[in-house]
Amino acid sequence: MKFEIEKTTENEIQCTLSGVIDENSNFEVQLSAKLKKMTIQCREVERINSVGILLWRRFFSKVRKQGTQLVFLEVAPSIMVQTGFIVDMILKDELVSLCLPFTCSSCKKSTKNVFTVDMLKNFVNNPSSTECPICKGESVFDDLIEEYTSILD
Amino acid sequence: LIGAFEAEESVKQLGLISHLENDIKFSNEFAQTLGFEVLQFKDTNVSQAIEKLNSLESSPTLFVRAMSLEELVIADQAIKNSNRPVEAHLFVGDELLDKRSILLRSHSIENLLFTKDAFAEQSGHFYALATASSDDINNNFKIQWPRSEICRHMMQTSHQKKNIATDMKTRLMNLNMHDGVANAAVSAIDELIMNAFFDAPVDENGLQLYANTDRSELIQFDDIKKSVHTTLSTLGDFAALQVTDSFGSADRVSILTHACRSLSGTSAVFGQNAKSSGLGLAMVLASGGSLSYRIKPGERTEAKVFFRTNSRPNEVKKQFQFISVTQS
Repeated sequence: MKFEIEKTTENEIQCTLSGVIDENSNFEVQLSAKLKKMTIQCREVERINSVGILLWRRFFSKVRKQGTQLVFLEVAPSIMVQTGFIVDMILKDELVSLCLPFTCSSCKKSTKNVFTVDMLKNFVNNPSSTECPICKGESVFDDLIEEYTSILD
Repeated sequence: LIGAFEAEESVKQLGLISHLENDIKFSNEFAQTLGFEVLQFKDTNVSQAIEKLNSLESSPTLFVRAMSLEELVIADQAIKNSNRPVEAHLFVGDELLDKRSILLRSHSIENLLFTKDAFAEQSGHFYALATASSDDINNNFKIQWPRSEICRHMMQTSHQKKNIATDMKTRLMNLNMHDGVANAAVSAIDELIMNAFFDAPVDENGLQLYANTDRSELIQFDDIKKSVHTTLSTLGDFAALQVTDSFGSADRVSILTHACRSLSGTSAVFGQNAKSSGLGLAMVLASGGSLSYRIKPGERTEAKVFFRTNSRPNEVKKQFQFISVTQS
């Protein structure tokens, strides 16, 4: 796993998580007690295993306890599907945007399309296809939508 | 293989005790694939159905759905009291998961078929595997697994897991597996390898050696006989990933208890100092793959999970799942 801090001020930190989150993932980032907001971009998290979930949960619980507001951006499908049964993986109010997996009907290429929470709510009522960035064919959502929406309940 | 099966002279019978549309569809397709004759028992209970099956010449295969605890107990007793071996498979929906203590104690049920009633659409994988193994000489089908081996790894340290997972992902992608399904399959084998290194090893008294060890620590087996083996095999459109340990310490009831708990959506509880989340099996099942354990106590545990290589993530999650745990 890569945990890259992109921007930091006294009150705010922006970081990116990517790769495989597992037992070797290092979440030991020293955070200022004055930190008010932490923004985490996690579009490129490939997968997370059971120990990765344990470490994720411990780290973000600790951050919440010190009063820091968490903001999750472009959350990868590998993380979103865990939010249904790990209740405090990401809290409802912390989720700003997420990635939905699409597969092209023509070239079978899979892509991740970014949706805000409001866009997701609209998509549930009116699911629509998108244009495949590779072959311009029709790319359709390719997973169980309830795994992505349970966090909104 | 189908040809070999059709060459059998005797007619195989499949007893179906269920009125649910999904079960009937599943059984009919299964029977059609394997050349079984379906005997659907209507307006009868399990005991009466078994009695009728006992009067048949061949040993029957039975698919049964018990809708209540009482029915489940009756089914279990009837199968145990049968005057011939009955190969019984139990459809399990949400309604029975909370009755799991009875469900799990029974050894009369070969396989638990988790049908996920609301969206059980893809049942092909179950009977395709049965087809693949239907040339068994004992004239019963046994669920077996893809046997055409693509790769085998011997692991003596837990830190080899990362490389194995990467290699498996590459090989699955080479089979044209969808990226999302390949990731799910790799997640499953990741968990099974961790179990083999940290949960399976026991001392001479059966006490776990490394259950409370941090999962990032190095576990190394100096004795080559204690190594962990992984294999990837294929059969047609199916891929099976297998992890074998040489301890044979897994237990049927605890595996199925974990499985039922995760399938019934029980939330995970983490201790502050826990070294594992207890979510390993849940993660394997969440991958959408079906799972088979064969345990030889004190010798080895084989855990196998399989996927259809040409499915999309959406299809994998809608398929029937089964769990089979055999303890000899």
